[in-house]
Amino acid sequence: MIQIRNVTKKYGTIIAVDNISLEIPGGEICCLIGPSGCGKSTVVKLINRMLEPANGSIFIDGKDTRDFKPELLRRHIGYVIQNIGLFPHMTVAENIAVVPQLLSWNQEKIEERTEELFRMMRMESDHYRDKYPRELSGGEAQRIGVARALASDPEILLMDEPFGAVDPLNREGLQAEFMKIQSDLKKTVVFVTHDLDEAIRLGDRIALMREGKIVQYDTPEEILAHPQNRFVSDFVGADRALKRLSRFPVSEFMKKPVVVKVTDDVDAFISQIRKKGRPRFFWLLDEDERLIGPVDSRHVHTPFSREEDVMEANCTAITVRDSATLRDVLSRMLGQGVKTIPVTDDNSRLVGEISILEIEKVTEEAALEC
Amino acid sequence: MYRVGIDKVTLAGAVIGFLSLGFHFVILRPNRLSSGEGLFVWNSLSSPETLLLALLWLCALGTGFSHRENRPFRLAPGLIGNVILVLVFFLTARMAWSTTDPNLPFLRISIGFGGWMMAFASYILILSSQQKLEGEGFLRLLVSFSGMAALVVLFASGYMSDMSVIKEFSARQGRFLSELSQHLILAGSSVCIATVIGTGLGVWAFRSRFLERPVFFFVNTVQTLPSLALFGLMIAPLALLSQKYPVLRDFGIQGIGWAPALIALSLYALLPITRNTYTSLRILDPDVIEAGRGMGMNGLQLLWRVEIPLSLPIILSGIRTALVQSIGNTTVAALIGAGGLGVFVFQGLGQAVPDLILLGAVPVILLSVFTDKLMALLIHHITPKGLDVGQEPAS
Ligand SMILES: Nc1ncnc2c1ncn2[C@@H]1O[C@H](COP(=O)(O)OP(=O)(O)OP(=O)(O)O)[C@@H](O)[C@H]1O
Ligand SMILES: [Mg+2]
Repeated sequence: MIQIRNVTKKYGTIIAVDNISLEIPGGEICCLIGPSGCGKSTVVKLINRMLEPANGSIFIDGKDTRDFKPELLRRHIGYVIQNIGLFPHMTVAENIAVVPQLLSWNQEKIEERTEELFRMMRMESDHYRDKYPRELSGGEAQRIGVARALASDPEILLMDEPFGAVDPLNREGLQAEFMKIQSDLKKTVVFVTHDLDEAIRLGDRIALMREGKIVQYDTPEEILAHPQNRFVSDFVGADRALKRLSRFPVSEFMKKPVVVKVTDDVDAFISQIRKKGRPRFFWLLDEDERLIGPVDSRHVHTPFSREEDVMEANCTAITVRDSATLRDVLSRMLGQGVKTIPVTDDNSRLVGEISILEIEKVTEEAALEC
Repeated sequence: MYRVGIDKVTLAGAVIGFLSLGFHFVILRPNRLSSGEGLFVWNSLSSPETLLLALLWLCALGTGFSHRENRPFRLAPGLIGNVILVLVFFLTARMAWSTTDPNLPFLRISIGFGGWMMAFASYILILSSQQKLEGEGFLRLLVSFSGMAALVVLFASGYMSDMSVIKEFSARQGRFLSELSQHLILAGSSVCIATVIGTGLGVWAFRSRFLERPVFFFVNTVQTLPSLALFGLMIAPLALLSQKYPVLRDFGIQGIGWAPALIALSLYALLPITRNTYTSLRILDPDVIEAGRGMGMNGLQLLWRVEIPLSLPIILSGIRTALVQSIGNTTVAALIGAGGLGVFVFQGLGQAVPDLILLGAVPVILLSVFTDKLMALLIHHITPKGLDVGQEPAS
């Protein structure tokens, strides 16, 4: 847990951080976001005492950071600096080993840990360990920067725009990897970003800053649903309702689908639901429970013909994965012009369906609250 | 297929080589003081020898015009250069011991302007090959040093002992060695002193914005003074000091001699070292420093693990410049009685004996080149592999 209490930092006459208080619960990701120059990096550097506050104090797990020597404190706080800052004269492996070395781990343990980190970053150790930073792409360098910060397995991680130098596509990949790592490691993370989508995806909480002050500190859902003032609502943008959807994983909103396997008696099933009058649509599965496509029970041949009665011959275009968010779902619906789409798991097995009604429900809630 | 093109360096060497034929290859003097008579290549050598030299230069010219990227063509200029280099000395030396005239018992034979020019041109050919053989370990070594090695053997075997320079050398062997060591000590210790002070000044100028300008004003001004003037400037204050405190004289500190020379040389060597130290700190990436601090390095660890490895190559290349410069400047120090190889140069100038001048000048040149190469090697080895090698900031 990190507690920041009434902290102020001045550079000459500039007040970079203005009487900030912030409490970050253990194991959570707090995203610091705000316009350039609003003091995000300064807050991060105050936490690991790269900078000393003019006023106020900072506690980590209840202990005042001033009770530690700054160097010793920093060795136990992972730090990804804004511009990566890999040591150009050290190989990738040496870069990763810097903090363990400072902590005087033995060589064997360092070696083991380095390999573990390469695996965690999904980078081929043999390919990268002896390269020098100048031989890396921006994205690779940033991953090494994250690995270096994680090296001594610190409880607290400060990440200053760790994915800033990566193109949007790769950034999403890195974010997903990072979330996977975080779900195992449960670090307390302060994550600085410029990118609202990134903050919404990653943050358990978002602290929106402006001119050295925290304007709103809340869960992403709350910030998007209830912007506290004009600045926040402008910052999150007119499409905040849409953005908010990306906080909702489809797996929590999908419904149990009505399904029939080709190997079952499809005609019997059809006459049964016709009698009941609903549902009108169902999903046809193959023998391995993989999705073949949707069927409209009002327009089928008797007997049922797999070739002619399945509506979408190629239904991968309308399918989403169970890791998607409602935002992905909505955009898929709009793009394909359908109102209900199937959700599949890693093995393309059908696990649920979701319709535009569910999404409307979620957005209506927010609209009512506003 | 290989592209055929023009190789400018080899071509330049070949052209200079041909031009050298237009000057006197050797000079014959009835005795060491007289002005003597110059001979062209064709007057001094037999026709087959003349032809051989001309042919070699033609080959050089040919490779210069039709350069190909394959190995024989990269090797050719260097081999030709080495052969010519050895030939210039070998033929002159042979001429020296084969020409005996009972009427002229003190006859002196030395290499003339044309001969030196030819040696220089052959060296250009060697350099040209060296460049092209980058990374070809053995061949490059062969091209770089085979000629030099042959010359050393030639010298050691006594074959060259009848050449005029060598005669001057033999006559002063003891003196030569002591002046050589004096030269090395003066140049070396001045750079040592300048390294201590210069790195300090560099760090100082970097740390304090206030001092940056005065420090560089000082070292730049010193550098603009002609070396002779700086040596002269040292005389008066030191003479005064040693008069006031005669104890100093017991240590050899007086208006002339090694003391003023050492001070002047140290001052001279300050600029490159101060400048490079300052620059090396200036270009340290602040993000890298921040990363070091952020990972939890203390001041000393930051210095040893980050700042020194990153800045040492640049500081060392400043020391390299200072050393080469100091070896040259020490020659002038002979004028204020500090000794060194300059002694022979100025004696030679005074007595108008060109070979005596050479006895001083040639070792100075060789020393400079050798030191330069040695430092380059050291810097290459000390530069961390992740950095660009041998980066010297522009002055
Ligand atoms: N070393 C410094 N000296 C003077 N002013 C500084 C210094 N570092 C930062 N500032 C100022 O403090 C303010 C906050 O800077 P900070 O680096 O925390 O911004 P930031 O939110 O991280 O911006 P960005 O998104 O561009 O990284 C800015 O106005 C900046 O100009
Ligand atoms: Mg910043």
